[in-house]
Amino acid sequence: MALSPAEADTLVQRAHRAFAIGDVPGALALYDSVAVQYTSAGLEYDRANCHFHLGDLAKAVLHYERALRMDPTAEDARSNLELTRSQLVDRVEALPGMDLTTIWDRMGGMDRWARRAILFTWACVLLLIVALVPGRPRGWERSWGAAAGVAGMLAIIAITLSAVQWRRYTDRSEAILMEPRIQVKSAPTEQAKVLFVLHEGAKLKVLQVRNGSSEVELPNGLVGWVPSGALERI
Amino acid sequence: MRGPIFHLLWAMLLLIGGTSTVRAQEISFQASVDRNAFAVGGSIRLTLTLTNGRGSLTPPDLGGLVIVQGPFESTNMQFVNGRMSSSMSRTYVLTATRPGSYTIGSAVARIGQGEIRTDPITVEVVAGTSESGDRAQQQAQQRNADLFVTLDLSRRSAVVGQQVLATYTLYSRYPNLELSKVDIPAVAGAWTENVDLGDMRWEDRLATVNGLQYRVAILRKQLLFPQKPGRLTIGPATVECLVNRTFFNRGSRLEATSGTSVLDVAALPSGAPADQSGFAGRLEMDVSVDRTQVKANEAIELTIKFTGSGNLKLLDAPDLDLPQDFEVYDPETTDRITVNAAGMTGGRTFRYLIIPRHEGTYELPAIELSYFDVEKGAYRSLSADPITVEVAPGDGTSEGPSVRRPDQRRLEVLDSDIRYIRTGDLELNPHGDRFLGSAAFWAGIGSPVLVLLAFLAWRRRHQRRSADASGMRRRKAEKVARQRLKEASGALDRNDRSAFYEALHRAMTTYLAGKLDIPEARVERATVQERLGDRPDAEALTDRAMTLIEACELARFAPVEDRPRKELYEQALHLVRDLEETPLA
Repeated sequence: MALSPAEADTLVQRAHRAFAIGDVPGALALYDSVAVQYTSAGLEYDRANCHFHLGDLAKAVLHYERALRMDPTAEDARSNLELTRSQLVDRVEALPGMDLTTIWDRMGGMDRWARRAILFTWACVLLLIVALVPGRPRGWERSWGAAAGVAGMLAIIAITLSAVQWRRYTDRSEAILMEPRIQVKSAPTEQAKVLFVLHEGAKLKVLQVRNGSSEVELPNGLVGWVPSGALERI
Repeated sequence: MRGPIFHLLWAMLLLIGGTSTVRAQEISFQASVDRNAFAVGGSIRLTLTLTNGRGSLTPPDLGGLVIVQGPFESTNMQFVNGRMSSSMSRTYVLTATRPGSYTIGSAVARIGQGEIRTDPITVEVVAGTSESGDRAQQQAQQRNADLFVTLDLSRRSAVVGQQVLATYTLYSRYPNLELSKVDIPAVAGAWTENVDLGDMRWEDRLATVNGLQYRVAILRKQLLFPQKPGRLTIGPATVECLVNRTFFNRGSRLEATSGTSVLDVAALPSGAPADQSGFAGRLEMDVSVDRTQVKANEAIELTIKFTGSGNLKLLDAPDLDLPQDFEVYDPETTDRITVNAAGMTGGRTFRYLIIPRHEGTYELPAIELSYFDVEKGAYRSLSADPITVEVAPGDGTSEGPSVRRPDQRRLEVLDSDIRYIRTGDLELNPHGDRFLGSAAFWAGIGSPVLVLLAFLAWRRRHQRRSADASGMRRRKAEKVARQRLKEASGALDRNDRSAFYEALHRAMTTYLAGKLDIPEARVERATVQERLGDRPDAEALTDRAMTLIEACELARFAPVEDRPRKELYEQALHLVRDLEETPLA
């Protein structure tokens, strides 16, 4: 059952070919079989595209969001997600400031910042070594030391951003509504009032879970309770 | 007595003289009946008429009809404008005893070597009882109507767009007829084009239908171009007229209606080329330009001429797929189309004005058009060769080059779609396998720190060791210096001049080299001063040391002594003492 990385790559190539000749369900099945064991922003993106072509917008949104969670810099996923959202039933205007994507997100995910942190640390260390080599003329130490300091600052910034992205990545409070139509209630009980009706593909933030119901918040600030089974965490 | 003989001779002469004239006249032999249907017990008249000929007549096979009376013969001769025509007729009165359909066979006239045969005639005999007499009469009336209209189609089946000629003809036996109304309904599902026949008039000929002779007038000839597949119903045409009207008689109003015809229209076969024009028929195309070498902004006339037969009036101007630098105006259409019984033929010409806006050599793409060739029953493609146009730079006087195409449009986004999948390597990772926090990450971030620590440790040891080495050398320098000074002191006592200066010089250089931790060769003013550092008396000390060394060097190689040796020796002792008292970095 376990797929070796080489086998996984072969399956992915077969999926690309199936997609290219228009066999979208076949391609999706192959991507899904790889996704059992492996994951990547690219894989999630391709799966999302397959779902989009098959008309399953909720799943397309879910996988685009997952691709973006793994790689916030993926412009293709962002643009496709926008287009998919425009075809959903519900149009939810986000409150200002609720869009969590910042310029830092667009500059890289946690792994990219981690790699940058390593790069800057190495630069800082090498510059320090050059500065402190003995028997050099006066002033040498000072200029090279300054360069090492800059590199050190950059390394610290990179580590911080990597940690920020790590928190964002591990925060799985966001979810996509998978049911075609659902009533959002005022409390986690059957008899509670129906506040509004949501349709598939809506992006929600889960605030708490109780009795198989989740309290969710829409990007526009509306809050209500939905059955947890209707949600799929990003 | 002369009278009868004279008359006979006259008649013979007349006959002989007339034969040559008679030969020139057309000879015809016809059989006709006065009606085609009658009831049992009734009778019809069969008349055989031989015009302009003399010969023996063989009566036809009567097919079961019985001769009641006859034959009666009559001869008729007349001169018109000096021409003589003659006719001889033989009339039988026939009857039938049983109802049914009877066919009167051909009668034969033998004239000289040849013979002429008449067409057979079919006669209907209905049961002649008194109660069904009216119906029989009616039927006979209908079938033998003295007035009827026919509708003929040039073909019974066609493909969409193929031309079909429909002819509406009026047959009448009334000598006096006035048409008051001709109603020919439009044909739904077909483009109709009427053939211009001029004023309606009776044809010269008489038509014989089933033995009866009619005057004939063509009411209308119509070209039909079916526009959709299916069964197309044509007609009926209705004619209203007034017959037998004379000065004394108001006449009677009659109405005649043609039957309807059905045209089977087949769809054009499948496999139509993309540039199918919808035209069916026969078509030729000719493309030409008035010139191929122009200056920019000068007009070129591009002419596309179609000739052929078919519905040319429905032929649209082909789209020109010209290079971007050309401006095209709507074409001018000139028709030279004839509509007659043979169909719609002629030509249609499209004249385009095209203006190249920039210089260069352009190729006007081939103009292609295909249509359905009804004769071959297949699609045929017409193609003209591409035309090469050379455009020279404009002289600027005409219109002026347009800076911008007047019909330039904004880029229009026709549709949006999601971006394509990512192909190639997707950089797969097992679930949960992230770089941040992995062993590789910690190794990557930790290793430079370790490298730095290792470097700092090495540097520290290196510094300590080099500090030791220079300290030892300094301590040793003083010892060596004092030893050399002692040698100098001995030479001073012995009054050995060269030994003194050599010992003193060596004492000073080795001492400075050792004390300042520099090679002996670099004992010179600049180095010494730099090594003495920022002490306040550095310059003075340097000066003293270098003066002393220079004095020794001078005395060693030249017999010059500006100062007593004792004083030099004292100076060296003081310098060593002063340098020893001050610690060095």
